[in-house]
Amino acid sequence: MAARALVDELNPTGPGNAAWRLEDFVDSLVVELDKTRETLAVKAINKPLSYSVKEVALDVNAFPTYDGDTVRFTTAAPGQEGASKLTIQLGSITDQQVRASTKRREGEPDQNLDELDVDDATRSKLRKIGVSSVDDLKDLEARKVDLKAATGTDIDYSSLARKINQSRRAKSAPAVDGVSLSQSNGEPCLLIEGRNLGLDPTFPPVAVLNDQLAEVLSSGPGHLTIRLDTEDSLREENEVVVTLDPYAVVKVNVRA
Amino acid sequence: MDEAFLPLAELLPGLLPSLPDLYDVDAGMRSRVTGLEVETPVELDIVVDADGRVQLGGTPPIYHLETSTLPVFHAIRIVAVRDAEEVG
Repeated sequence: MAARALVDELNPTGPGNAAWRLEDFVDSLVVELDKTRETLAVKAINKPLSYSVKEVALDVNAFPTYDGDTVRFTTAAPGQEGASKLTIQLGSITDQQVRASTKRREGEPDQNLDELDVDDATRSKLRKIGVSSVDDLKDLEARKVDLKAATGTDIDYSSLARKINQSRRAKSAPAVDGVSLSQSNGEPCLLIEGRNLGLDPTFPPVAVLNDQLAEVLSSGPGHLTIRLDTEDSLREENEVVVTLDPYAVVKVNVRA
Repeated sequence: MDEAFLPLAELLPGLLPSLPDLYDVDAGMRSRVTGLEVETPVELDIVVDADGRVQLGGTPPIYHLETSTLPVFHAIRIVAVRDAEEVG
């Protein structure tokens, strides 16, 4: 113990006393509190007296540091004076309160900001104004918050929305399983089958067959039909390029 | 974590005494504890792993001798109430 204290004193930011982020500390405290509740619940089975933890508070003596981006705390070591006192108070919360204070989301799950292809500086600026997910961004946009003014950067919704959509599309990238000749209302057409093809109902796919614009008759996630002028429209070697939406283009070489 | 410290999930239940109800048959009185609030200085061992995850260990003051360099005493408070179905 004494040796450990000496090491901490000599090297307060060393491995024995590494700086921690408050959110990581609170996460750990919450986990410990949950385990405590589980222990007491088990104990209640065997002991006639059972208690519920209503509140846990922890006072920690620590030194805050700011590296220009994140605030971290280093636990005060023996002999160090002038530490700040950090009080963390955790109270119980019922399921009902959780439901009342949690944002209700419908449809697809919220996308975390970490999953987006945005640079670290932008992500950091957004996090500082409390944006941690794509839905948080949508909320701000709906309230017409000026992101440029709030973050002091050139971030705007349209550039972010582009990155968000790009990132989402990358997760459901199009894949072509096969191409065949088919008929649609008696007319010859090229049927492209696959996955994640036409996903954006607001954007009709655009097809180019052998450098000529071709009409897309129908499209869906699993298929795409392209009108052929005649059955002889196809050459021996054909190149089909389809822009499925602003973020997905597929190129298929078809041999007739 | 230093072996002298306990994970908080073990330390916290240990701070809550299990006190039986008190009966006085002659007086016809029965008393029971309905809640506990324990506050104690603790020494903490806060370990940060490579991923930044924090492990919390704690122990009530280990030594009871005044030394030239005292350990750092943090504090912990736990408030517990007796389960509703047992009070009453």
